[in-house]
Parts: sequence; structure tokens; C-alpha cells
Amino acid sequence: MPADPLTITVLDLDAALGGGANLMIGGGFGLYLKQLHVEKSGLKTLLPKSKWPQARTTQDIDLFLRAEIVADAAHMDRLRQVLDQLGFIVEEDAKWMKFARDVGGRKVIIDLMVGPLGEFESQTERHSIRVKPIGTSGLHARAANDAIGVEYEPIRLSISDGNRSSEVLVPQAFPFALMKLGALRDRINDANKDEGRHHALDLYRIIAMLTEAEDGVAKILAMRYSKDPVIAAAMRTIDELFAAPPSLGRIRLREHPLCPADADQMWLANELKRLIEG
Amino acid sequence: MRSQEPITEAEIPALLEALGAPWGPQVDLKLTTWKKTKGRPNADFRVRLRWASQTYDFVAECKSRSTPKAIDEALLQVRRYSQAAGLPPMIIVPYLDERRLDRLADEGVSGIDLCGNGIAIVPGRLLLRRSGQPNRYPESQPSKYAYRAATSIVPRAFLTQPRFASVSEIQAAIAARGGAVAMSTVSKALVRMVEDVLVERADARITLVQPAALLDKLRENFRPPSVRASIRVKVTGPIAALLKQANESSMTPRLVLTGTASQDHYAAGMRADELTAYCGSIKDIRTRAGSLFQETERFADLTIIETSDRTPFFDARKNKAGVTYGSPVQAYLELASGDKRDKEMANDIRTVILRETANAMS
Repeated sequence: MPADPLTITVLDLDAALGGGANLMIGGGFGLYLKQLHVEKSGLKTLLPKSKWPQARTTQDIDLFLRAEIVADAAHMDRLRQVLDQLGFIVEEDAKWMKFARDVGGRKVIIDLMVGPLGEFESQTERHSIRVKPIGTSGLHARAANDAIGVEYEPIRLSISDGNRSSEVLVPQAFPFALMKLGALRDRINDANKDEGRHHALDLYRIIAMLTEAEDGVAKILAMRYSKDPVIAAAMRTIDELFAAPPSLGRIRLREHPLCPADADQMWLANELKRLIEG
Repeated sequence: MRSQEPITEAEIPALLEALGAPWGPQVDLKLTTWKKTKGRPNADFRVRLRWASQTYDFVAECKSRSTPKAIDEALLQVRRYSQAAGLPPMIIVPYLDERRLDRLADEGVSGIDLCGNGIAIVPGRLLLRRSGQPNRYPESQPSKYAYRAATSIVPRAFLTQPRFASVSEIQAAIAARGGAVAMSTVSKALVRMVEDVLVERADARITLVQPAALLDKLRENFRPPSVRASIRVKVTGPIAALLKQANESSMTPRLVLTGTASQDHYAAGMRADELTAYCGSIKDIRTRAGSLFQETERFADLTIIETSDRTPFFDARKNKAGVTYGSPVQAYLELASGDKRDKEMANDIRTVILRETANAMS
């Protein structure tokens, strides 16, 4: 089976960066890769595989840049050159944060993101959600403020298009769940409910395929960030959107065509709280 | 629905008259008792079917039950009467479902029931068929449940040993494979299997004659074992060690993997779900397992289901490592009621069962 355009794009990018670039993939594509990886590995998960929602991929790649890279002008310039070399064109509605190109007749978008900047904050300029190194303008990253711990022990997995292969990184369940809770909270009242449905299903997916190792990492991260306002906000979101019927998070999850018929919403709320609180 | 009392052949003309022809009021049906002739095969009825200006006469044999065996006998007899009388054959039974009507159509024999279903065949001239009316004369309970729950151990025993000399030999064979069934239950199940033409009894031999059809019967009537209680456990060390310890010094297994969890023992492919096992008493398993497991709700290795149903323990198979698997029949039945992928695996196991049965028969 030929590789999908998203995999081809990540492999192209890794090769153009000299190989071994340790690209970190979040979003729907990151979850998709993680699902395939966990399925294949036979790792024990919170729910048996037969109860997971069917794996789904997306049109875009959420490429997480490490905070130290976003703070480094030379690194960001190099990355921009590579995107240009690969034929990526900046997206007009999200200039310098999103780039697109055509792969086999399909438009592939790279969305550049960065988690909390921590010690690198002072080396960057920030305008609303945009973050860039001081003194450059060719490439920006979107600040994912909810993604605390995104750089902590990401999961390493292999991707391949048949001829080439590379290792990429996928965030742990803890930051993934925080990002998805934030995204769901932001999109819950959208007129178009599809985004909210996808985020709700992704939360269910993250919990369903939680491994024991990730559960252990989540405990460490929960302890480390217990005072962070992101944690408090996430707990409120769980209470508001999942803890009791008929909350909107539950409704969005049920509305998703890939939601398993036996999805237990109370179980989801409890496990999300356990993951975030530690 | 009529009571469980079987109808008698004498009641049939009145019942049919009250019901009318299955094919609607345009068709008239009249039954008259066959005039008996000494020294000739005598049918039960002459049936006259009138449709507009056309009239068709049939010679009919009637049975008070609708089992495959009763239909077999009726067909055999009515063909003989048909040949002697020079009239097309017809059978009359309490109920004809789609499958039975299909069979009559294939055999070119007409048939009517007492529920409003029927097929009339006069080759090249007439073909009427009416089906879908519900059964108003269901068979009595003990017969119905021959292929379900504890009684189903009897038909299952025939798939492991297709020939027996006596009822007591069947009972002994069941006991040898970890089952326990009363002699009366064996006899009742046997009667039903003979009626369904799955087993033949002749000259002190009881022989399975249709293994595939028997598996179908078991599948159609299968219900998963009832769950009295369940726990999820994290096993310290290999699961084989827990199963071995739980089943130590016992002829009949106390803890056995479910049919679904036993799939990879009988067919290729892995069903990667969490393992599940049946037991008769969780309390007993807890005592025997000691420190070999800890109860947990998260990241469990094994779910243990307590059930009073003994069928999952029948014909369990142990491997060298001490893992006790559900029987191939249990694996087949559980997977056959699952999703598409499970059904594919069930088909592979079905092939294995039928091959083993064929080997045992030869």
C-alpha cells in the first residue's frame, strides 16, 4: 500500500533536515501514528483494542518545535529554507505559522507549534498566539499554552513509506489530553460542531489507548505541574463538559460517527481527572 | 399461540378448514379422508385445491410434528402414496418455515401447515408459495433447549466422539471431558437430535450423521454463559502459572480461558484483547491463586468471570505450559457471535472441528 501524503511529507522533512531530526508530531496525525504504534506493539492499554475508536487521520501535520528551537533564529531560518526547498507555500490566513504543499494531488498543511517556553521565553517575541525568535520574521510557531510537559519523554516510533523510514516523536498522553481539553473548551460552542466532535473523540481515544508507561509519566507530570493554572482549567473543563449529563462534551462525543456504542462517559471523566490530577 | 399439547392428526381437517388456504380466499382447499384400500399403501387425505376453474388433487400425508425427522418420514411415505395413486404428493405438518418450504420446493412436494404457510406444486402447471406466518405450534421446552446451556454438552460430546454404544457411554464420555449431565438429560437431548436427523440410533449404535448441521444448531442456539460476578486482575508472572495453580489436582478445570481468549490455540491470527477466563467460584480462585494476582480496575492482564454455566469447562484443553483453553467448540460458538473479524476466525475453527470429527468418524 502506498504511504499516505502526511507520512511522505514527514519523511521528506526529516531527510531535508539531514535525517534523525526527531520531529515531534501532535494533533490528529500524531494520535493516528500513536494508535498504529500501540496496536502493533501489543502494549497493555486501559481499554482493549477492540473498544478503541477506529483510527482516523487528518489533513494537516501539527509539528511541535522544541522551545529552544523557536528561540534560536538560526534554527528557525534553516527550517524555513527547508520548507521552501520542499515546495511549501505559506498559508495566507495563518502567515508564517502554516505552510502547505501538494503531495500526490492532496494538499498537506504543516502547522508549526510550540509548547510553554519556560526558560526560553526571554529569547522570543510573542504576539497573541504567535511566537518567534527575536529579530527574525520568516517562521512563527503557534503557542500551545495548554501543552505543558509536551517535551517530556515523548514516545518514539517509526514511520515508513516502504523505501524510507524515520523515527518521530509523539507527545505523552498527559500533554495530549491537556491540549485536547483546551481545544474542546475553545470550540465547544462553534456553529460548526465537527471540530468539537473530533476533539471529544480524540480525548476518548487518548484515554482508551493509555499505556501503563504513560500512566506513570502522567503521575510525574501531574505532580510537577500541580500548581499550574492549566491544570486547574483542565479540571474545570472536565467537570463542565464530561462529568454529568447532559454536558456538551458528552454530546459532542456521542455525535461523532466513530464514537463506540459502548463508550462510557463517566468512566472517561474519571480517567481524565486521574490522568491530569495524578 | 397454542398450548404446548401436541395436536393430533384427527384435529387437522378442522384446523385447516378454520384457517383457510394459505394462498388467499381465491384458492379453495378441501380435505377428505383417504378411502382405505386393503393391500395398498394408504394416505391420510385427499386434498382438492380449486383456483378459478382449475382443480388439482393431491395425495397427502399428515404428521403431528414438524421436526426434520417427521418431515423425512412424511416425504418417504407420501412419495409411495403418490406413485400408487397417480396424484402429486403433499405433506401437512403444524409448521413450515422458510427452510422447510425450500426443502419441499427442491423435492417437488407440496406442503401446508396449520399457521398459514404453504407451497403447492404441480410441475409445469401450478406453483403457489406463502411463507412468513409465525409458528403457532412451537416444540416443547426440553426439546427446544437441547442445543443450549447445560444440555448442549450432549450434542457437543458427539463432535469429540461421533459414535457411542449406549446412553451410559455418552454420559461417561462427557464426564471424562469434565462435564456432568444427568442420564435423563442425555436421553432427552438424544431424542431431539434423532428427530432433527443429526444423530442416528440403530442396532445399539448411536452415530452422529450430520456434524456440520449439528454445529449450526449449536451456533443458532448459543447464549454466552451468564455472568454471576467478575473481577479484573493483574497477574504476577506468567498467566500460565496462575491457570496451572488454579487447576492443580483437579480432574475438571476450575479456571479456563473463554472461547474467544482460546482462539489462537486453534487458529492462526491473534485477537489482541485482554484475556478473559471462566470460573465456578471467584472466592475459590482467590484462595488458590494466593499472591499470584492482585485485583485491579486498570491495566488488568485477565478478567475472571464467575458463572454457574458448566458448558465452558467441558472439553477444555491443556497445553504443556499448563494453560487451560476453552474447547474448540466453545471458541467457535463465542467467536461466531462476534464481529466480522471474529466470524472469520470462527470459520477457521469450524474447519478444524469438522476435520477432527471426520477423522474420529473414519
